[in-house]
Amino acid sequence: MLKSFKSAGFSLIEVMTSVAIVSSLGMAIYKLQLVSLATSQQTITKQLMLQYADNLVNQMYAHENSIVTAGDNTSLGLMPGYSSTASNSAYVETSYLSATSPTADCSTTTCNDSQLASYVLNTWKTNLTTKSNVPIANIKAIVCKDSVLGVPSMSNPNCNGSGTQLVIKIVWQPHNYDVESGVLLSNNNYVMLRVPGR
Amino acid sequence: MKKNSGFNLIELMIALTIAAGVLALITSSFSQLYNTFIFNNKVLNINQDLRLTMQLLKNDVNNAGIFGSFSFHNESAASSYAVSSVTTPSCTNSAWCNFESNGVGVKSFTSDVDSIIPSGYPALASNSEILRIQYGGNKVAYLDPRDRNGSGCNTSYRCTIDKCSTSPLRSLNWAYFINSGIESNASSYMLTSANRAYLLKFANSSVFTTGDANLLVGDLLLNFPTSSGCPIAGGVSLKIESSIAGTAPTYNYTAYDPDMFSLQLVNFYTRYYFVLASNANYAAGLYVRTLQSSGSLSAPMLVSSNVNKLTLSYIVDNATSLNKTLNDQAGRFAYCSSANMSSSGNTRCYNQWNKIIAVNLNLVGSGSSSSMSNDQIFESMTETVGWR
Repeated sequence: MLKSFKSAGFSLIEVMTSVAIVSSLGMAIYKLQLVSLATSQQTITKQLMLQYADNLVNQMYAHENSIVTAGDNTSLGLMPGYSSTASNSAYVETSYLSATSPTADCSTTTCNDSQLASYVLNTWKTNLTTKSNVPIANIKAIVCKDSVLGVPSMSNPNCNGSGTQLVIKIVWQPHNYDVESGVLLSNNNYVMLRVPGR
Repeated sequence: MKKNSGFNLIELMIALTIAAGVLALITSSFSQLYNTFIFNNKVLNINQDLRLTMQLLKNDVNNAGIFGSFSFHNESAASSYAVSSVTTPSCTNSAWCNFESNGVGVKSFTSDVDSIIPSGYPALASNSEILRIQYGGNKVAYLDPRDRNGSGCNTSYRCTIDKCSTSPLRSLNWAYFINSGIESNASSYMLTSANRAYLLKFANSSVFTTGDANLLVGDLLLNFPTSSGCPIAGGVSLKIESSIAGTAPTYNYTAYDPDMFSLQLVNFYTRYYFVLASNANYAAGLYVRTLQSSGSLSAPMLVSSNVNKLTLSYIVDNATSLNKTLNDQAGRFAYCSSANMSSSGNTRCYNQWNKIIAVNLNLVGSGSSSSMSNDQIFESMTETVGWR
């Protein structure tokens, strides 16, 4: 009699184990894809936000160039809307939330400097929240004085209020926030643009 | 002996069902991932296109109203600077004659006022506007003072200022531009000085080929009117300050125009940007037409097919002069749409083209993602150009 050749297949446990290993590999690749997608989304969003910030800077410049500020050194670096009486820039905001109503609607009535500044900020913020059309759940922006360029978060603009240079800060919360690993990306959902004085 | 059977049908079915479920999950998940990737790509594509287009528009708007050393920005409100009086052989081209010295080189229309959409082309896209930009380009020739250090100026050697003559007519007579590649049949040059901009339209090349022995072929000779105000026959004549002000040249060599020596010849650009809808022959998108050296506009060229709306608005500064005491002046600034600027009932904005301090450009682009039919992509981009 021939010796019987042992010819057993894999046991269920073995198969399950190997499937588990393979699928965990698959999941890892999938996760990697998701992260890469989130990163590219983040990049697109960041680019759009930089464009928005740049647009505001240009509007401020356009305003600034038509204004002759006082000749003393203390006014150097101050931005348009500079009020000879209030000694402050009308572009500095305190609200970190959505647009505050402008003091005057410059599209229907004529405006002075501070009214124009308020109107520019209002239309800019309104556009940011209604027209930016980016995959984000929430957005916050502020123009403030900040000498150290503090990184803003959703809850705190992190402006120290000192110095004369203005900074535009925009922070947003992506829809796929949970997908983005906190370690990898949560630090990247903001733009800061310093507004150089003249 | 060990029983060596395979899976039975039930086991196989269960295994297949589970596998199919898992596969379906993975497939749908990957397909979603892929769709999102395509969608993102499309968004990025439209965005890049809008950015490039915006850059093009911004560059042109930045240049608007600048002619060599003369800028209409902040100056055009002063009527003494807005001189465009020049006797040219002819001015028959509408694009050429449309130059306006009482603006800053930027104007926009809500309808085709200048008739720049040729027949056969689609109509202006819905709610879109036409942008017209005018500015001077590179210098093409410099003024040659032709000073002979006091030696005689005569009929064969004419000096810009004839210091040798005792004639009361000796002053502003001629301006020579040394040939540096002036296109003799070109019709789009601008003569600019520190304070003025003059249109020049050369209907024929004869103005470049005078009989003056000291001129090379292609040099430009301009005749200034005589003290009696008469242009010299056969040439291009030009009035400069002293003549316009009625001050006749005098003996003591001082009656020259200070603008004179800053004169330079530059190319003159007129460009129209407009967004068309589509028809059977032409795609929808942003088109541009440019004034050519022949004096006619180029055929519309497609700049971007992703742009489907162009609108403009302006910040108008009503301050009469630049003065720090005017800060916070009430009623100084106005936001005006193109429609406001051309609406005679709008006292804030109507025809304030010379008081624009900033131009807001808005481009809208849209499209859909091929992989997700219900995914409409809509992008709006606004940029502001303020002159520095």
